[in-house]
Amino acid sequence: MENLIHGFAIALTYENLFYCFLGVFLGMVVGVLPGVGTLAAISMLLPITFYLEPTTAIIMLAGVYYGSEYGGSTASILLNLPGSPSNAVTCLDGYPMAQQGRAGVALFITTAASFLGGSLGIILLIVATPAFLAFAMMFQSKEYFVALLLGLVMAATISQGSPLKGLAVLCIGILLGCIGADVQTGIARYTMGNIELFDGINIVVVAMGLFGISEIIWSIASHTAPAINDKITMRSLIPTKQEIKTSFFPALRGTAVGSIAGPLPGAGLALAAFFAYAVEKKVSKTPERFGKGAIEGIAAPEAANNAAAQTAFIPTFALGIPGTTTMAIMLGALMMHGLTPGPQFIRENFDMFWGIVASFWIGNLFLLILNIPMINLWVRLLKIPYPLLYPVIICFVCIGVYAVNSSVFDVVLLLGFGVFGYLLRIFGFEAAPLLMGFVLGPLLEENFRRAMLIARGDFFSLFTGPVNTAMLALALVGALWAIYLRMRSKSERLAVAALEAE
Amino acid sequence: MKHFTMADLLGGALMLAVGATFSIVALNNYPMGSAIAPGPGIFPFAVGAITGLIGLAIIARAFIQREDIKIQVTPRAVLSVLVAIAAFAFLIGRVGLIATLFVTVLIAATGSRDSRPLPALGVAFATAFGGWLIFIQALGLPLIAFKAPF
Repeated sequence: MENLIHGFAIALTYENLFYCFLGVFLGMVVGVLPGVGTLAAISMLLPITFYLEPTTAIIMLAGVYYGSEYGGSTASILLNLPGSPSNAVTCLDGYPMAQQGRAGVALFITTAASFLGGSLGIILLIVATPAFLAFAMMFQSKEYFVALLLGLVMAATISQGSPLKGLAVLCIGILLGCIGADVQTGIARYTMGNIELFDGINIVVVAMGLFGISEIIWSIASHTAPAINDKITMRSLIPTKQEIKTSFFPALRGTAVGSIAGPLPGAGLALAAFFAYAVEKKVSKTPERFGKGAIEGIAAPEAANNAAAQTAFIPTFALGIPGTTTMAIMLGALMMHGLTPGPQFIRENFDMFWGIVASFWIGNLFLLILNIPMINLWVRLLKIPYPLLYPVIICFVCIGVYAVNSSVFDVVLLLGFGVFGYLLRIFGFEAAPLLMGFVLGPLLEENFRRAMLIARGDFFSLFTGPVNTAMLALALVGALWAIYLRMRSKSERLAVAALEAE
Repeated sequence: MKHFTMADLLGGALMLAVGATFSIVALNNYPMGSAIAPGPGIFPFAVGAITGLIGLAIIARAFIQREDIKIQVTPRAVLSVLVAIAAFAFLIGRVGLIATLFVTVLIAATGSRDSRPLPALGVAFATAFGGWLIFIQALGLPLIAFKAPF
C-alpha cells in the first residue's frame, strides 16, 4: 500500500500526468482509425518517447496501448469494423445495438466495463507481481531458455491462423533478430558489411513495416466509406437501471476471464475477449439474444480485454518475458531506454515500477472521462474518408522511422519490411509472431549459450529441473486445452456462419 | 479445383528460401563453436534449418490440404505506397521535410481509386505544414525544414 502511494506521488507529477494524458488521447485517436491496430499505434508513437525520461516514456506508451485498445471498440460498435482483433467480439453485439439506435448506451457500457476491468486488472497486477517475482528468483539461464522457448512457441501457435505458419513466421523473426554484432564475440552477423546494421535492425522499422505499411496497403483496397448517420447525444448515452443491472455481473465475470488470460503467452486480449463472450453465452438464460444486441455481449468481452491488458504486464515486468506481441514492443521500448525487465529490474527501479502501475490507473480514469464527452469527436474522426487519411499516416510512419537515427537506410528497410509484411498477408500468414521472435530471439540465444556452458554441453539437461518440469507440464496441459478449444471454436464458427446465413 | 493451394506453396517457398539463406550464410561464415561453448554460428544455423523444414512442410501441405485462399493483390495500392516511401527516403536528405511531405502525400494518394486531385492537394499542403509544426516546432526533432537541392 505504501508502495502504491509512493507510486501515485510519481505518477501525479505534472509531466507524467501530461504524457499519460497525451498517450491515452493519441492512442484513442489512432485506435479509432480503421486499419490501424494497437501494434501500429504503439510503434508509430514509439519514436516520440525516445526523448523522454524512461518512466515517462513507458507511462505514455502504456497509455497509447490501452487507449488504442479502447478506441478500437468505438469503431467496432459504430461501424462493425474492429480497430484491433481484440475488439472483433464487440462487433457481434455492439453493431446490432448501434443499428437499433442504442449506440450511445453500447458506448457507455463499453467505457464503464472497460474501466471496471482495467481497475481490477491493476489490483491483480499489484498483488500478483511480487508472487511472480519470487518465482522468477528460481530462474537461471536454462529456466529462462525453456520459458522463452515455450512462450514463443505458444504465442506463435495458439493465437490465430495456422500453427505451422505461425511457427515459420516466428523463426523468421528470430533469424532477423540475429542480424548485427554477436553479443559474446562481437562478430558481425548478416550485416553484409553495412555499418548501420551493426547494432541490429531497429524494432520501430520492423514493427512499422509489418503492421503499419502492409496494413495500409491492405486497407486501401478493401476499405469502404463508412456510413454513420446519427449524431450521438449525451442523453442517449445514459443506460437504464435494467441495462446496468444486466451488464454488471457479466463485466465481473469478463474481468476474471481476462485477468487469467492476460499473462498467458499467446492468449492475449483477443482470446480473452472471445472466452469472456463464450462464457456469457453459456451462463445466459437467453443465449439466443446474443449477436442481436445483447448488452452482456459487450460488457463481458470489453471488461475482459481491458483486464487482460493490465495483467499482461505481470510476466513482462517480473520475468522480462512478454506474452504477447504488444508486450514485446513494450519490452523493446524498455530495452531501448537501457532497461532490462526481470527480477532485478523491479528491485533496482522500484520508483519507476510503482510509478508506472499508478499511472495505469490514472490512465484508465482518463479513458473514462475523455470518452464520454468526446464521443462525437471520435464519430467525426471515423467519418474521414480513408483516401484522405492514409497518405498522412504514411508520412507519419516515415518521419517516425527516419527520426530514430536520422537514417535514410532505415526508411529503405521500412520499405522492405512493408513488402515482406504484405507478402505474408496475401499468403495468409500472421505477422505478429515475427515481432515476438525478433525481440526475444536474442534473449533466447544468449540464455541458450550460457545454459549450454553451465550444463557442460548436455543439450537435453536444459529441460530438466523442478521449475522446467513444472513449466513443461503446464505447457502440455495448455497445448491439449488449446487443441480442444480449436476444435470447439471451429464448430462454433460454423454455428455463427449458420446464424448469419439465416 | 486446383491441384494445390497457391498461397501455401508460395508462402512455404518464401520461408524455405529465407531459412536456407540464413543457414548457409551461418555455416560458411560464422564459427559454430562446441557443445560446451556454442559459437555465433550455431544458433542462426539451427533456427534457419528449422525455418526451412517448416517451409517444406507448408509446401507439402499445399498439395495435401487444398484450401481456397485467394491471393488478392492490388498492384495500384502496392506501387503507390512503395514509391511514396522511396520518394521520402530519396528526398528527405535533399530538400528538407516540408517539400518531402508534400511529394510523399501526392504520390501515396494515387494508390486509391477514390482519391481526387484537389482534396489530395489540400491534404498535401496540410500535411507539409502540420508536419513542420508538430515535428520541428513542437517536438523539436532534428529534421531540416527546408533545404535547397543544390
